[in-house]
Amino acid sequence: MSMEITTILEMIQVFFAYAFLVLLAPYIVLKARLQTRTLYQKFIICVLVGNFYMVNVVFAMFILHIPSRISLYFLSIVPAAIAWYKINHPDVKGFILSIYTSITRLFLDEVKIGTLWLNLTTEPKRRIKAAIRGCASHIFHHFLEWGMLFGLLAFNVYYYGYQTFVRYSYGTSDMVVHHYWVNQLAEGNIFCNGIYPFGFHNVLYFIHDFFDIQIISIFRVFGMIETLYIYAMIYVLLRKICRSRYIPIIGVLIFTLPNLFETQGIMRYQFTLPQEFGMIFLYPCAYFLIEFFQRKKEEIAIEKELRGQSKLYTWLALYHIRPSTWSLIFFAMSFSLTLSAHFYITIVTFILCFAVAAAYFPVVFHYRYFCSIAVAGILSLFSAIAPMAVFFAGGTPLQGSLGWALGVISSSSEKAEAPEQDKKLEKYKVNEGDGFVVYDLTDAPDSLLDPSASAPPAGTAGQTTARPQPSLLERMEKIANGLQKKIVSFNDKLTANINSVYIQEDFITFLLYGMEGMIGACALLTLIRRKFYYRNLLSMALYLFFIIMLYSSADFSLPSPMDQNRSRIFAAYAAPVFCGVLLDLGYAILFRPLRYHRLTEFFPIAAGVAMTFLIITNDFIKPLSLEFAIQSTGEMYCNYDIMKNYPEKKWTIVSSTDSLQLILHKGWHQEVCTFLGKMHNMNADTTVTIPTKYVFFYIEKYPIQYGASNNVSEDFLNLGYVSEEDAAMPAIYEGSAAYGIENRKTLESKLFFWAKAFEEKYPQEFQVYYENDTFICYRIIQNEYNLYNFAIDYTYN
Amino acid sequence: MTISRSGFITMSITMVAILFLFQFSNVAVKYTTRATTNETRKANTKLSAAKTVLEEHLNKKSTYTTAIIGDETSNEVMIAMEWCVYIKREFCRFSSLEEFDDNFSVGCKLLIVTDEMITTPQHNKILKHVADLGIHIIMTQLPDTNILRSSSILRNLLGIREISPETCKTDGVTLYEGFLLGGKTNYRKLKKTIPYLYLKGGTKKYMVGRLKEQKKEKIKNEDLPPIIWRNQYENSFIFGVNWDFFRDHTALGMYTAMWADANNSFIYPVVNAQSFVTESFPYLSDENLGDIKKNYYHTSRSLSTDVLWPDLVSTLSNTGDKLTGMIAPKLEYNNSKNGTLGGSIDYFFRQTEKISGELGISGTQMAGMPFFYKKLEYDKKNLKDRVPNYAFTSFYPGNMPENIYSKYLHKENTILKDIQTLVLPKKDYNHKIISFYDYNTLCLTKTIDGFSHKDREDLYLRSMETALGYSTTVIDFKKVFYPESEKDDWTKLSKDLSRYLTTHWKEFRECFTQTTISEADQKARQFLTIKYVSFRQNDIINLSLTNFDKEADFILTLTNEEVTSVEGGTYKKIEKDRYLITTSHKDVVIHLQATGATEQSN
Repeated sequence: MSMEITTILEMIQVFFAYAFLVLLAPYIVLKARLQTRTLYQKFIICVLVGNFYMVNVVFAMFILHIPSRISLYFLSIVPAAIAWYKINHPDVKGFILSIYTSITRLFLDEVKIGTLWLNLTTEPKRRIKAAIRGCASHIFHHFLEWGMLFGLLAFNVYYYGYQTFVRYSYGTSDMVVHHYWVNQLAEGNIFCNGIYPFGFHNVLYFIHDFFDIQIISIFRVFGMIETLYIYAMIYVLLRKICRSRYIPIIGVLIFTLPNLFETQGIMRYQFTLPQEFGMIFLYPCAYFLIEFFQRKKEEIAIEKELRGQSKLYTWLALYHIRPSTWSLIFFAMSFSLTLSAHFYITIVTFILCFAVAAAYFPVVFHYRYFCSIAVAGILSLFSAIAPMAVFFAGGTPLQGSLGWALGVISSSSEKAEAPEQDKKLEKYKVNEGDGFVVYDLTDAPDSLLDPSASAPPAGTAGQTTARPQPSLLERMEKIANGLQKKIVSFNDKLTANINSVYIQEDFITFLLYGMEGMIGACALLTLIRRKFYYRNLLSMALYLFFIIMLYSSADFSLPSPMDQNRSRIFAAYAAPVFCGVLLDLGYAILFRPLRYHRLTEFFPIAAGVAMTFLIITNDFIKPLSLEFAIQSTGEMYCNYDIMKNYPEKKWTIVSSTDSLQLILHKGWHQEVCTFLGKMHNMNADTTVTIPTKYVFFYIEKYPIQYGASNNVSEDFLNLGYVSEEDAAMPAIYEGSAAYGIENRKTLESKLFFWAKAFEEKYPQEFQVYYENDTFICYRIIQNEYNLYNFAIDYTYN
Repeated sequence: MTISRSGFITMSITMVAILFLFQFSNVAVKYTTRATTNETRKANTKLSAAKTVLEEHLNKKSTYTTAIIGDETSNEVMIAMEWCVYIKREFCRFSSLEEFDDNFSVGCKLLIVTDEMITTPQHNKILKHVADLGIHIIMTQLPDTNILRSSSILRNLLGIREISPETCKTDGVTLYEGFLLGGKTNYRKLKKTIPYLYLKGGTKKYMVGRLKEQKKEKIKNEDLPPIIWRNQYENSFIFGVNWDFFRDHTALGMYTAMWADANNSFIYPVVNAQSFVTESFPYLSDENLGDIKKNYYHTSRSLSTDVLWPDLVSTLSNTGDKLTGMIAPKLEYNNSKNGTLGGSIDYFFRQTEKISGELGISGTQMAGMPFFYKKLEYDKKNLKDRVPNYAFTSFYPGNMPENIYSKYLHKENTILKDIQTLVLPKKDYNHKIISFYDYNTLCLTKTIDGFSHKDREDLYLRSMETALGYSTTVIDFKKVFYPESEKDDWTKLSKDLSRYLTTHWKEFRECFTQTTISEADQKARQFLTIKYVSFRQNDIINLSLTNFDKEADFILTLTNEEVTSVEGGTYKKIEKDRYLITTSHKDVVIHLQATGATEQSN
């Protein structure tokens, strides 16, 4: 089977496996609770519950020291079954009784087997038919929405799945490390390299162990699948906020189709990485926080009304668990999941929540709101940190990159420079106290305090000039001019910064001025109309502002808790939400008199279609992404073929390092540098053996330029064809220097000529297993009782 | 209850019809039996010695492809020449390497040299020159270690890194799979003192010696003393042998295996016949009653019919073997008291027909030299009276000397008139496995004693199977009727026989065709007659045959490839990388594909 077909099948397999775990299974368990919810609300709740459940089941399994497939099945199925029973209250007794009665009647010959079968299957058939009818009806009635959304998601499948489909291999070296950690989970070791947010790894391990899908298959395709959920969350959040049903689709469209974003800001979605996985849970935090405010407001109003009618007990008995509490529970889950996935997501979630809180000022500080949010936040932190704390208490150290991240945060705050103004005032400092500094500015030029003021002409220093007092209008004009200049200067500075996030200048202008205008307008509208709707819009504008400031923090001498390469991703991800809410503000203002009649949706639909048309006809579709050269396509092809066709643990591959984790549980691996190093400066007694029946040698005829990035539609960058000159160069066989780029070419050249020499000695036995233009794999089948000695003189050793 | 007349008639007719149906088959068998005529006799005289490709046809002075260096009386040389005849290679024998060097043929691909031919540095240089030309070399025995130590050229050719100052005594040998048919085997009883060699990288071992102290001294498998190995030198392979296997016909299979290993693919003709012969059985008399009754509580006759025959048939039916029984009408021709029993003749002839077996004549008798002539006369008279139409085409001389039976072969009015096949014991090393005794009579050599399975015998058998796909198993029933010790008890012998057939020799019975001696004779004549030319182009092997008659069998050896289809014949996988090709047409096309290799993309 070709790799392309294999990739498609894997995509389908992993997609449905993940969808089962995070959509279908939670829906079945929570069906009774979700009945009053809309489809997109069901979607977001199921995704949260499903992921939260998987992450914590795996943690529980390892805390109890019982990692195995059976315990995974037990810990996942049994509690879910109990929860299903408790929530849905199925008539299990009645069901068993009906089965018993039917069988009894069968044996008493009162019914035939056909009748019995009909009776037993009537209800399930009815339910299935109802479900199908419901789905079909929903799709029919929302055909346009479904069609547009699926079209966009299909494009994302193509865009983010292209690299996997065409190049087969992992596109970034981080994936190999995470694959290693998931391998270790499969072997029963959690936090093998130290404490690290393991939510992502837990989920992948769960999918692997529950469905017995190879880890390599999951890693290759999960990046594309999680990206679909990331994009879906844009739609879900905008559906929550926006009045229009179709503007959220425009938001997804903006992030999907046009070439607006720097490639570095969107390329990581094609890779299976924890930060991107955590982004699924970023917008649900805002979603449920907003929902909490709305519901709390409704509850307060209802309570007030009932108290006014002296119906306190009615109020107390109205809810078993209040809807606002449910919102907080889901908020806590999603916040906890961000912490479990990646700390950067948590930082951005803080910023997002802060933006929402700022937009809900001063409501958020009301004790009814604040206490609930605080408790939810503490509980979510606890649920995320507790498993890590348990293992930390057990002696597992922190993982290296955590220390690095903390170092980045602390060093960035140390590096914050004193403002330029303070430097200029330094020479006028006369006294410095505890918390204050005294300057004598008698001789200081005006330009020191007012940079727009010109320096006094030469020869006039020390002269004082008496000026007349300006009028109020002049002062206001002056302030306005100054403000305008500051805003323009500020925007220019921001533009200069963020043009490495948004590559179109017009788009940057639109964003910045739109954001500033929206902040002002929404703040004003909030004061005037006191609707939470405008607060929601304001929160998204503030969020964009904060994220842009996070990205530009270095230039504004602000603390920088995140590397620009990472914050760029969040800045890009914030733009479609902002664009959506901005468009919705216009929609809300324009069509309020029409009470947002459904016919008004024509305009957003038309806008979306027009945008799509313009993007396509003006060739403005974003180009295919970049990837890093990690492995050649031939290497991944051979890995798959060998794992499929050869018995486990009976083969060894001699290749560069990246295949090690990919084949870990199936076969053995030896590095090229180790293999060649053993026969370097060999003598007659040198023996190099590999004790497996099958041995495969991976040789890059064009050694790839490891780590270099290029477009996914082009071949990997390479170092040129292997040559005798390169083979003759001295090579480094151990230490980190062995993995340098130039050494890679030397080693591959040496291995190439070793293979040629060995083929002469064993022309029948040493055969080409696979070959393409850039890669060749040799295979030899050994007698395990009498191994071949691979140490031969091939001239370059 | 009364029965009507019509009912009575109906019932009677029904009963008669049932009686007739039940009895008809038995009566039909009795009157249609052809047990007393030899149906297996084939008119095969057209494949006589004149039509076969024998030594004289392949011995070419100038166009040889195989050069054999050695003395013409040497066993190794004779067996090498025999091998060339079997695989139809043109060869030439030279008395010395110098003579070979002076008469070099550009078509030469293989050089077989005995150890006594490598004595001087000049010889070493010739060998090196030959290897440089890409000609493969088989050294049938290692030269003396002093010569090896003194010659770096020889050591380089053989891939010897070091020669231990001390020899070693092997505690058995291990034959690795892929060399001879039958897979990996440990021979614990093959012990010999041999030079202890250490080989370089780039060599491949087929057989190594085992050492008793291997575990104690932590000797790796790769460092065990090599017995048969290959070294790659420039464009050729040099095969070394550190044992005396090549002094007998064990060498045949080893030559084939070495030549197959030196080539990517190799196809060669085989006999494809596995025969089972019982010597002095069926036994048609009732002699030595004392011993028989004492051991078995039977007379000789009832022992034959009630014990030996059922046991034998049962054993053979498990393995699918076909029986060729060499009849012993009597064994004590000096005693006229017990004659040939007519009932036994009828019984065994009919039973043999039932199991599709065949009967020949045995030359063994217990009375001594003067009675051989009497035996022949007596046998002719008795058997001619009872089974006048049965023509005995196979003869097992047993202890009858050649100078006696040679006078009677093809003579009119003798029992040996129609003999076409002689089944001979393995006597001399220069006695060929398959050869013509005279113009029309073919000799087939016994390859295994059915009651014995020693390590050396097993190795010999594997070699025969590899080289020829042929074996003739002979079990001697004389020792059953005239036991000399407890070991000759039939209970023990039959158990051994059954064990050997169903374990050690089972694989070969499954790979190759079971035949009677007549059928093996046919196949052997076809084998010796056929000529073939094969060439390979990418994944296709073309095979063209001449002197082809109906069917011919070949073994195809590959390396990590498999046969996907055969046009003009059929194929059967007998082992990994080995296929039995049965041709039904004189032009055959064999399609191959690599095993486990993925498609190559551009």
